Amino acid sequence: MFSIHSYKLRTVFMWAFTVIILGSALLFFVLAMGFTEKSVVTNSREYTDQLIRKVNDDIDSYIRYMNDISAMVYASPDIQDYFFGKPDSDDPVIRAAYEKDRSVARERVKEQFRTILHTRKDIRNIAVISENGEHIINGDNSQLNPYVSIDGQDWYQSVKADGRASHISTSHVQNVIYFQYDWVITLSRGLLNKDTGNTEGVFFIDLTYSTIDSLCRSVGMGKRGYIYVLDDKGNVIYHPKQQLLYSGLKDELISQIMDRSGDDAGFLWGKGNDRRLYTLSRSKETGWTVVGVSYMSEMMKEGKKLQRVYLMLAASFLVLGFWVARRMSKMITDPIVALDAAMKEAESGHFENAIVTAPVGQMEVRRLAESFNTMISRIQTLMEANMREQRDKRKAEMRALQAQINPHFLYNTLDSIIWMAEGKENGPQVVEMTSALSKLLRQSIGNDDEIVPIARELDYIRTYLTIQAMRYRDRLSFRIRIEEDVEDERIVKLTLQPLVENAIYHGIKYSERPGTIEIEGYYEGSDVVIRIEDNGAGMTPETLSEILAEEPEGDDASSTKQMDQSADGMDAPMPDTGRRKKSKSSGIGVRNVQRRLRLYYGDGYGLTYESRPGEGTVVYVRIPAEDTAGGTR
Amino acid sequence: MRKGHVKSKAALIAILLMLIAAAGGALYRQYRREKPVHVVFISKTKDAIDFWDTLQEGATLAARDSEVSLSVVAPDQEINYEEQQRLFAAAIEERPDAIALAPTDAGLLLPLAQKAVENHIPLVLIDSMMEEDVQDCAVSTDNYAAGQALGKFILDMSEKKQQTVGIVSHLGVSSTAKERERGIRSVLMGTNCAVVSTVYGQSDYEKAYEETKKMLMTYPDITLIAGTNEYATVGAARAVRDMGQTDKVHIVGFDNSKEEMLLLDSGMVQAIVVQKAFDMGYLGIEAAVRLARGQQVESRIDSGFALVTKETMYTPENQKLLFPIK
Repeated sequence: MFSIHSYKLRTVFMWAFTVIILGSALLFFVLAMGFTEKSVVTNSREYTDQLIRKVNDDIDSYIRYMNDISAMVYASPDIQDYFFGKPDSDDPVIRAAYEKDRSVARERVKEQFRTILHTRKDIRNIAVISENGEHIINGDNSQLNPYVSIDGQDWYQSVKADGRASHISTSHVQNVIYFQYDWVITLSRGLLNKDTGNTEGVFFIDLTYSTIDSLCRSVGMGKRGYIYVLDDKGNVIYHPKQQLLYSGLKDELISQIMDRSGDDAGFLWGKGNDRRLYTLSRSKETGWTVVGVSYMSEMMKEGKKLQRVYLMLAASFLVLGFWVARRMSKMITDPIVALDAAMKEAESGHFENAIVTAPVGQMEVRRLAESFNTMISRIQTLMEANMREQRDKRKAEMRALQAQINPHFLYNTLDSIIWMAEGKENGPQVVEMTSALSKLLRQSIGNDDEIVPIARELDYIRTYLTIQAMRYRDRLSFRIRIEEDVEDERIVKLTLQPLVENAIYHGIKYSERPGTIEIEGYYEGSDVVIRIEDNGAGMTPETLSEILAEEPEGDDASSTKQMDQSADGMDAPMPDTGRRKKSKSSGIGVRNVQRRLRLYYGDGYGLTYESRPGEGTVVYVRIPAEDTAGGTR
Repeated sequence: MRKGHVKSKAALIAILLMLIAAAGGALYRQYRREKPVHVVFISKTKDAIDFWDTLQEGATLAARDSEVSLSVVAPDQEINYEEQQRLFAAAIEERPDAIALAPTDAGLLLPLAQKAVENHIPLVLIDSMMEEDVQDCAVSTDNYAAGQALGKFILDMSEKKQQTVGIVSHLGVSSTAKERERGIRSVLMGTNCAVVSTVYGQSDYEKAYEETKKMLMTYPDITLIAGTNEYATVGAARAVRDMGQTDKVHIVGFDNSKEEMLLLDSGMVQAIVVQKAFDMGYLGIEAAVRLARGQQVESRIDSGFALVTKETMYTPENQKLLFPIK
């Protein structure tokens, strides 16, 4: 039931095409999108990589600058003089000179700080603070915040641990300077007392955090994309959503970034609209990591347009595919359907309609149609030939029938003429009979028409009966009564004469009383009936059935000829066996008539016999009237 | 096989229809997602006040994250109700996809808010409420809870000692002021810390200063003052300092400024409750965008707060909250 063979070829085609087109469109779409994403990621990764490297380089250069200044300050003799200088003696003059030197040194340091701050706007603070509380801050009147202990600061603690190296803090609020509270990144370094070789204070320089902030902000990573910076311990130096991170409203990859090496190629993270590309760059100098985050949805903006184009393409492919599938299946199935219809016509016998007229379709189907057409016309030719043969056969048969009547009849008639001529006073009778015979002969020749007007048949019978009446003298009389129009009706030729002949030879001939044959023609509804009645010996039902019984057709013609050799021996002494033979032979004529009538007019027409032995026989010939029956041929 | 053919034809058509529907749906969703959304944020003030700067920063970031366009408008001063009213009316005429509003007055703007709702413009209230809840969503600090947190701090700090508490509020009409005061009072009611008076500083340092002075003179036994916003807290602190009562009168308060931080650093102010302005701005615009895109949003969103003392003011989290980047 669900086998593929139970579906129409066109349906199978449509389905197959649909599946193939949908599948390939989908595959095409996925592959194309995959390829687009891959190339977009590669491009974006390179671009982001360059960007964040640049950011890292910029940060490095800030830090390097701070380091340079720290090195300079570290080695500055003025600072040594101011913070760690001691008067050589307690002599007031020397002390005064020392104090003067010290304040000169202090002014020089302050001047230096002022210069640095003046030239570099990105430097917020620059300060030296000794353990004993002496300090130079920014070269102006900046004060230490009295409420905050410097000891508590991370950057101070790391200097204490290792004073020689410089330390970079994370981003923080600078709170050791009174009423400032600015966001900075602090580079701090221990202050070495060259005399003692100990770290006895701290030098620090603050980079304005907004420098880093605006640097990071300025990096274009699309609308949603951003960068962030982590220090070497994973603290957030910069993140645009830092507050949201603290509130737990957003989260960020930190440990994942810290676990990766500095030259990591980057990775994709997240799903759907939040799928994003992480690219990272770690500075060798600061150990800081700059992370670039770009959103796939933004990078794929162009891809989205492409996606739409792909979708359109896929849709038009689908439509085109459907159309092609329809066309192709039509191309194949239409001729087959036409062929099928033609075959059905042929099946029901209408060969003339069975030709495939439009030779469309592919070569194979066209050949099939051509072969079919050839076959059909061949069959048609054969059929026609067959039919012609049949007609010829019937014609021949009829000619034979015509021929078969004539010789015996002719012989007997001529015999009668001779017999009459021997009687000297029979001159007029001889003339009459001879002329009747001549008329009969003329009537029977020169007419090939199969159907003739009833009038003509009757003429023939009249002539025939005239001859027979003369032969039988007073033993035979006849009467013909015909309705006027019936004479013009047409009938198969030579159908009435055998019946009349039969009436004479099987009826009248064996009757003791004078025989009469009455012929009547009239309409009965839409039929024409010709009634032939004799008052002869009549027939037994056996004889009747024998007369009308069908016989094998094969030996029909030949047996007829044989039998009729001895027919019509009415004047010769007739033994009993001969009589039987005769009845049989005459039956053949009647049978022939019946067969021809049936063949011509159909089963509802033909002969009907009514007969009673000793009383006579009536035969009815029923044929359709012409204007209603129209002719079956 | 006529029937089979008809069936498979129907199936084919059904598949085609389904495909078309799916494609249409995807395109519509994409359209909804990518449709340019415009949000107007009507802030309270253009003044360079840290709270509003930070809030606007959060709002801007949310707009960027959601890929929408955002325009921020505000009256010159918070006290300018009428100007905000005008800005609000203009915004409604502009028919944006959503409006975020930080109402200065709980009653005056209500008719306009109703008009916005009638015109099917999603309305998100930020920071302050209105007399009636006509908005689609409100994003604010739970000021009552914040007041309660401050009340609890007062109780803990007092350690069973008797305290007389005075409250310096900012605006009688402001919902934030009312809620905060209510929160404080709800905790302190019936305890060793009795609230004796509330005065109004009108969000002005001078006014708060004067009112505090008057209150301290009226109630000389006041040992603790709670300010309901930055102006009130700083004004009160200045008054206490000028009256030389620094040792006697403790101060707690709300919000942050550089001066307030110094007061906290110095120990004059014991604790402050600080709102998460950045989060508030971010969440407010995020909610507005969601509404504009036809998505569901909770009717109340709490943006959170933090109670900060001298000890905790320099933790990384609180640094970010207390000190804006200049």
